[in-house]
Amino acid sequence: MSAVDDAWQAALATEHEAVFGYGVLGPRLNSGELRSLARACQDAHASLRDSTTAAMAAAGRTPVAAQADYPSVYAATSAPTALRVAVALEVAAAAAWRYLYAQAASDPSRETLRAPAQAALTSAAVRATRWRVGAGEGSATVPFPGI
Amino acid sequence: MAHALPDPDRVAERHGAGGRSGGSFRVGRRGVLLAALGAVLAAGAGTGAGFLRPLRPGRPAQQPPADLVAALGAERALIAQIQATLTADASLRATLSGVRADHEQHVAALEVAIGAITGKPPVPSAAESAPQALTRAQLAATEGQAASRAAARAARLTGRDAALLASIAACEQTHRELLA
Repeated sequence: MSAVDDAWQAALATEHEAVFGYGVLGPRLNSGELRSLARACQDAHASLRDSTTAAMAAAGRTPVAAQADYPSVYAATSAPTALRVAVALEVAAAAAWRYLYAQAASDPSRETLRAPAQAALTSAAVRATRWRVGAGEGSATVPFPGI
Repeated sequence: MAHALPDPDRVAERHGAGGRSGGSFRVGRRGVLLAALGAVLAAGAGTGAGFLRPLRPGRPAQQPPADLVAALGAERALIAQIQATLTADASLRATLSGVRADHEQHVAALEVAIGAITGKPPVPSAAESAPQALTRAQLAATEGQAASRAAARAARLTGRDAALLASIAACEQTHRELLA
């Protein structure tokens, strides 16, 4: 398997984890607005998981399956920790998609992966910003999402 | 009343490849440069052996990609725009200080990336005219446009330069989100 394929699979793996993670942290949030945000984020990740899985299958790859459990998301035991886990999920997704972008940008034969990787990187960065705002963090943005 | 938004690329052209806009730094210049170097190196992580090529000493100087130079000009123009807005409306200081700091990191990273190709840091040039202050909504739109342009430039580049601009594009979209 090529480095690009490894990165693609890793990006899909973060989408599996995000879908699972929002299911765990969502109920810990203490406002309807934040719970709605969690549902929207979960839906977005599920959609990306499905489209990525389909794209991999169409390309003749075997998409990585979801794990049975993701222990790290159980750190969300309260509203504040749930917010931190949400940010962490999005930061991880941004990093995985940026890594795929970097790999695809160095392999002309995989050029078509760059646009979806850019879109996914940007979406994860925006969601992370929404969660930082929700958490009342002083700095809601980072200069280099995914890095 | 609808206001015409300045075209960041045109503003960038006026700024040429340079012209730090006079904004005060939230962190020291040295810190920004170190962070920028880290970002450039990290942007290239996993992009193959070619990633280290431009940093090899003794390599003949090359011309940097036009998209990288244009991105640097656009970032400097954005900083100038934000500074003008901050000067006109202090109520935006809390929000815009962080946004401006992000752009300063972008400038520093792009200077490092270009310097790694040319063998010397890009020479700043003076701005021809001061940018006008924008409303919060106008700045949000400007950041969104900047994000789109950065993503388009990233798509025309390869390797670590592409990955760096892809990340900058994502950041600028978060600015649009924050200001909207």
